[in-house]
Amino acid sequence: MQGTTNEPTPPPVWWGEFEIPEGQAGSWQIGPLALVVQRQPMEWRVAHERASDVLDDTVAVACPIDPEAVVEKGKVLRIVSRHAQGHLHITPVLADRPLVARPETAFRLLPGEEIGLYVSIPLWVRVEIEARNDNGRQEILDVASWRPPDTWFGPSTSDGELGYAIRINARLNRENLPVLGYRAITQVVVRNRAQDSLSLERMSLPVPNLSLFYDADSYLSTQTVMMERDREGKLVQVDIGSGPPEEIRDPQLVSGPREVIHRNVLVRALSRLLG
Amino acid sequence: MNELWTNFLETMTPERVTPWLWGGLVILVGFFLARLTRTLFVRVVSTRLSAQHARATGNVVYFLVLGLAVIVALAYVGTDLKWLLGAAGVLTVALGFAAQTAVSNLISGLFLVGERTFRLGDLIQIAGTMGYVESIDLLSVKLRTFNNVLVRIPNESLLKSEITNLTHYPILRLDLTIGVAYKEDINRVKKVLLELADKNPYCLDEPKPLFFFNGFGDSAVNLRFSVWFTQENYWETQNRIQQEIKEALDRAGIEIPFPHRSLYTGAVTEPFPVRVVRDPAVAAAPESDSESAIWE
Repeated sequence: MQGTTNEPTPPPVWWGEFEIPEGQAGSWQIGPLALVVQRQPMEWRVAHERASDVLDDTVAVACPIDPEAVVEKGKVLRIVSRHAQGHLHITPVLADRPLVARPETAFRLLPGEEIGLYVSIPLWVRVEIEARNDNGRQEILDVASWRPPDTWFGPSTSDGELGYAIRINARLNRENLPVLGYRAITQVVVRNRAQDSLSLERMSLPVPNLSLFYDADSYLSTQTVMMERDREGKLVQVDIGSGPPEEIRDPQLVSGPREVIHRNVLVRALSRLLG
Repeated sequence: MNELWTNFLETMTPERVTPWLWGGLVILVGFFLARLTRTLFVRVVSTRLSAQHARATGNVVYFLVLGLAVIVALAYVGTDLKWLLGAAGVLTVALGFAAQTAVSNLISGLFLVGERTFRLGDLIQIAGTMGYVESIDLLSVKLRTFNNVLVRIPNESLLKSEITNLTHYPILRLDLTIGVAYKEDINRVKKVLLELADKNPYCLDEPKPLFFFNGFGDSAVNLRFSVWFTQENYWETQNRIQQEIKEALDRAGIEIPFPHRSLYTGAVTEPFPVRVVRDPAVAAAPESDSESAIWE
């Protein structure tokens, strides 16, 4: 008797280069984000709207299609160019500010322990068109598939930085996180070298400094972030992995970091990274 | 004429000319030194001060160096500096009286520059005037109000006034006073408001929104609800959140009461006129009578 497999179908690849002939359109549904791009003579029209249902995990691409078949939702942006080419680039990128992740259930890490957590983070969508005379690409839209609420992270209301707040389950196994086309997975390794327990209520992930990879298992993953609390318990050293995580198969670089840092190691006060 | 010229040449001995030459040279060197000092000073302080502040303080340095050079040059020529100091004293007193306000503003301006309470582009409020800082000059600060009016505020007034800078810190708190009817469940009101803040992307997740029971009012239970947001979203949040609160409370059926007032006619006033209205349903019934009247 042959067993049936209940493996869920991985979401389609919605990024890359797309050719849209004049008078045609493209439609993308990336989780809660609906995006429609139309090419008309000497202009591009881009419209996007986020659904109120933040749990909408639909990922679908239709490109090129008849513009009659799509409805432009939200505010329409017109980009006018006498030399408008038909090539469109859609790229998943990471957030433009640090993500402040709060575990649904706060936990403690005992002295001398090390733990690897898997965190699901939202993706942003960058839309680019070919610039004139092959001068590279021109960005026309950079929007979150789901916009997390703003938050503040720092020791006081006058000292800290702005970020986006996300709630995480902090899974201990990567396989426990579903494959969602509009979210990426970041492995966070936390080491506690201090003599007392580390209470993990919130942590600031420097996602603008991370790259994004796509692997053979259809996961979008970032570099590993390692956070090490020093012996005195006052400083945290953040180390960003130099390449894709070792555990993923056949990684392909999808997008680089928004902000390039020249050293992969950051040292900050505890109150600025963990709390 | 020739005799005059001869006398002049006789007096122009090297002993008499040399100090003048030295004096001229000192002024010339002083002039270039003052310019160089100003340039270097502006370059050094421009990292800490705005361009116009750096320029203004640079000019003060320039005139100080040049004035010093002139004094040294006069000393070379052999001028008795006592009369100069005396004249300067008299001049200072005269100028002090004449330009009392200007000098006061000037000194106040220097203090303000030193304090760095606000910068160009900040949104500030001074004595009821709110606006963006357009320029910080030595005598005054110019604000552009929201209705696009330029307001000049003398530095002296600024130094004495309370200044509120709304853009000094990256995040701000908005305190809202809300009144709900006495019959409402306060915990339910709290839940509705916190859910509202949670859904609004501009309300910061942390610091958390605050909910206070502010007291028992005449007509309502007074509550205070405070949310944090970034300074860029100041107007957006202030406008949106209040509208959203009204809508959320309406949806939840929570009453925002009007002021209630009871009228008492007392013994000296005429009684209120009373009209008897029959209940239509009861009136239509076959055995209706006057007992089913509704008193209005």
